This record gives sequence, structure tokens and C-alpha cells, in this order.
Amino acid sequence: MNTPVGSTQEPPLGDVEVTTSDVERVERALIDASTRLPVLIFYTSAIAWLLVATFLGILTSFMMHSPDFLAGWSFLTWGRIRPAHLNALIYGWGSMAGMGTAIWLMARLCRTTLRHPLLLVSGAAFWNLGVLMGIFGILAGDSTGYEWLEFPGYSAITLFVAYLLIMTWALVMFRYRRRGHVYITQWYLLGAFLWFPWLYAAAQVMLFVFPVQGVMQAAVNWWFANNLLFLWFGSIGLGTAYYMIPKVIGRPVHSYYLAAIGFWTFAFFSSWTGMQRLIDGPFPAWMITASIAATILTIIPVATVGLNHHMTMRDHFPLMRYSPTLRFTVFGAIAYTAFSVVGVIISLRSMASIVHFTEATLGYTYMGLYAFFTMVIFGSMYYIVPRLVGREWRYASLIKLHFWGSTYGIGLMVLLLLVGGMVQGLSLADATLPFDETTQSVLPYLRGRTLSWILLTVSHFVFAFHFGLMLLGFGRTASVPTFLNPLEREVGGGH
Amino acid sequence: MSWTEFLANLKRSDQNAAVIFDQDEPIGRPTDLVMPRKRWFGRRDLKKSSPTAHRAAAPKLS
Repeated sequence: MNTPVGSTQEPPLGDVEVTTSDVERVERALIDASTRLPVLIFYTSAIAWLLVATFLGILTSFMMHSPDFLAGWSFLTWGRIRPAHLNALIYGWGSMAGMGTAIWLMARLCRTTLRHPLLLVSGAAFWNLGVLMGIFGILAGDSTGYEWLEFPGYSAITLFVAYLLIMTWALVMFRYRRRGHVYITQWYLLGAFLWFPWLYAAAQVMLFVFPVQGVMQAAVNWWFANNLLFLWFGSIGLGTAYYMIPKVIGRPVHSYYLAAIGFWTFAFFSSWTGMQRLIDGPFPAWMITASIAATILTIIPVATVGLNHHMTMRDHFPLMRYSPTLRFTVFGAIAYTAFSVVGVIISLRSMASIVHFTEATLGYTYMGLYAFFTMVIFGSMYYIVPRLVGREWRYASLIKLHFWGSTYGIGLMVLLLLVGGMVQGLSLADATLPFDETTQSVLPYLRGRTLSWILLTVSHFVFAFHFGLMLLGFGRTASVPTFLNPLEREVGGGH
Repeated sequence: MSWTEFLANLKRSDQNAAVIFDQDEPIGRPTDLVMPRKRWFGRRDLKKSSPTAHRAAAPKLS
């Protein structure tokens, strides 16, 4: 299979026969080495923010059923730590980890060593500064009050400058890519890199620079929040899954046509969603109806992506036993389908009238942000980090603990929030029930959610510890690189 | 883009779908199978397989 390079293209190097395979291996190693510093900076920062978000998340959850807890400190009241938690999760963890993975994938898929790393390092530094100022700003009572846009102005500007640096790098990399096919993952990543500034700038301008009037602010706010979930996190998550699944199982994507249909319908329909969160609000009926229709139509990309992933994985599911990357990624890909189906169901007017303004909407958000996006990104980190530090993950038991902790944690949380939201909504709709009893009805679910946060906290700390070991050089020294593990041939041979 | 070019592009789909593979990591060879065989899902399979075969297949992790 390996064509001797020396015999066809280049003179032999002494007695050593250099094959095409050797050249590709060295080339890949050089690309990985060039991405090492920026990607590890993004990943390390992301994990630090994940721990902050987890700490704030468990506090938020606990205070929902024990409101007197920490009530004496103004900066730790529920109204401040909840937005601090969500923003740390979105901009600190999700965006930084997603960008880290996107950087590595872009370099690999452009087949060129990373250019202008200083742009990325500066971008990461500014982004961290922006998130730090934003979190402190929220805790100090400087929140803007708009969902997912609570960071004060000085923080938002810093984030935007940081993002421009990172986006410039992405465009330069794509411009100077090696000639060849543009893979599906690159479509999604380029889309994400261009959609984020559009969403963020549009929302900032329409809410803070030249604020639109009255209830239209809510419309802009929910358009932004929903699309950040779809077009930013969704694109990075799907793009990553389109690379990791075929690469790990060693099988090309089932259908490139389906991938193309999925991408363009995803891009077209997703950007129309958001207003369905405002059902029964004082808005023109066409706005909300258009968003409901667009949400229903997102079933097309969901079905095509789901079918494509399933057909690609067909007969290869047993490999999930051996690959942490595959395990996390497939879980995330399945969660994407579930997230979208739940999104369609709760956007229908009949269902929205029950679950609107309840914990169910939060459960839906966590499905997208964690069960889908975060799990896919965890999977990508298990694949990428060993290739950056040159060592394997140290403990299989910690990987398993991380996977099952996250799986049970997020599964329990989503279940409790969705069911609890239904109960809460039905109680609120019952005019004969005193309001006190409606809040009592949801309490068991909120207590259960704290339990799920405990599971997530354990799994996050385990992952952070394991990642720290890798950074410090305590990873397992493999006799051969991961991608040449002899186990592959034995296991893969059966498929 | 002409109709002929468009059709030609469509026919390249196999190449597009396989662009992430090369000679070093070819189609048909899984990568990243780093977990030991024991104690994931397959406890029953583990009992059935011979200890010798199991030791050979599973990479040693601490």
C-alpha cells in the first residue's frame, strides 16, 4: 500500500526508503505541532471556565430550592450567579473549547501548518479578559439583563475584538489551504466563524448601540440566543462530529449529498428560529408563526444529518467500546437529534402554552449546550490532546468516570427539567391551585437537579485532573502513536 | 458553473467524502481505539474470550 517515495519522485535518502506514508505522517505531525500552543491555551482556559461554570451552576441549582442559602451576600444572590453561570458556560467553556477544536480541525483539513499563531494567542488572551470582566461585572451587579447577553459593554467589546482576531486567522488559513476538496467539517466551521460576528454584532447594535423600541428588544434577544445555540454551537458541534466519526471508525461519510442538503437547510432554517420562544407575547402573529414553521423545518437537516451519521456508523457501533472519542461524539450526535425533536415539540403552540416560562425551556437549552455540544467537544478533546502532547490519556478509569458522570448527570438533569417543567406548567394553568402549591409541585424536580449537578461536578473535576496530568507530561507513554495502535487491526479487521 | 461542471462535481463526491483519509490513515483502519477491552459493555464477551487473546488485544492502562 505504501508507495516508496524515493523510487518515483525523489532520490533515495541513503539506505532509508521513505514512503508516501512516512511523508504523510511527518506532515501530520508538523501540522499538529504547529497547533499545539494555541489549541492548548484555548483548551486550558476552557476547562478553567468549565470549573467556574460548574461551581456557579451547582450554587444556582441549590439556591432554587434553598433560597436562603448565601442570601446575605449581594454578589452571590440567585439573580447574579445564574447569568454568571450561563455566560461562563457559553462564552468561557463552550466558545473557547469549540474554537480550540475548530482551530485544530481547520489546520488538519487545510493541510497546512498553522499560520500567524500570535493572532490566536492574542485572541485567546483578549477572550479570557472579556469573559473575566464580564463575570465580575455580572456579579458586581452590572448585568445588562438580556438573556445570554448579560456581559456589560466593556466586556462585550473586548470579546468582539478577540473574536475578530480569531476569525481573521480562520479566513487566512482557509485562503492558504492546500488545494483540494473542501470537507464538510470546513463548511460548518467557516459558517460558524462567519455567523458568530453577525449574530453578536447585530444583537449588540440593536440592543445597546441603537436600541430598538419596546418589545422588539425581546425579539432581538431571543433571535440571538436561539441562533447562538444553533448557528454557533450547532455548527461547531456538527462539523466536529462529521470529522471524528468517520476518522475514528475509518469509514468515509455515508453520503456527501445528504451532508450538503443537511448543511444548507440547517443554515437556511436555523436563522429563522427564535421567536417561538415568545409565543402568546405581544408580537405580530407572522413573526412567531414564521419561527415555529422554521423550527419544524429544521427536522430536514436533523433527519439528513442523523441519517448520515447513522449510516456511517452502521456495523461499527461496537467500536464505541474502545474509543472515548467515538463514545462521546456518538452520544452528542444522538443528543442533537433528541434536542431538535424536543425543540419542535415545545415550539408548537399547544405545547408551548404548557411549558412556556417553566423549567422545561432550560432543560431544552441544556440539551443543546451540554448533551449535544459539550459531549461532542469532550470527544474531540480526547482525540486531539494526545496528538498535541504526544502522550496517551493516563487512566482509562478516569475516562469512564467522566463519561458516565456526564451521561447520567445531563440525562438526569434534562429528564427532571422537562418533566418538572410539564408539571409546573400544568400547575400554573390550574386556576384552582394556589400559587404556593404550584411552586411546591416543582420542588422535588429541582432537588433532583442538584443531584445531577453533583454528578456533573465530579465528572468535570475528574476530566480537569486528567487533562492536567496530560499537560504536565504524566500521560501514558505509548509504544506506538494512538493512530497506529495494534489493537486497531485486531478490532477493525472484523468490520 | 455550467451544467457539465456541476455534474462532474457531483461525481467527485466519493473523493470529497474520503478527503480526511490518506495512506498513513487509510479507509478501513479505525483510529484512536485506546480503551482497554475489559469493563466497558462487554463483560460477557470478556468471559467468553480466552485470557491470552484478551491480554494481546487490550493495551495496558494503569
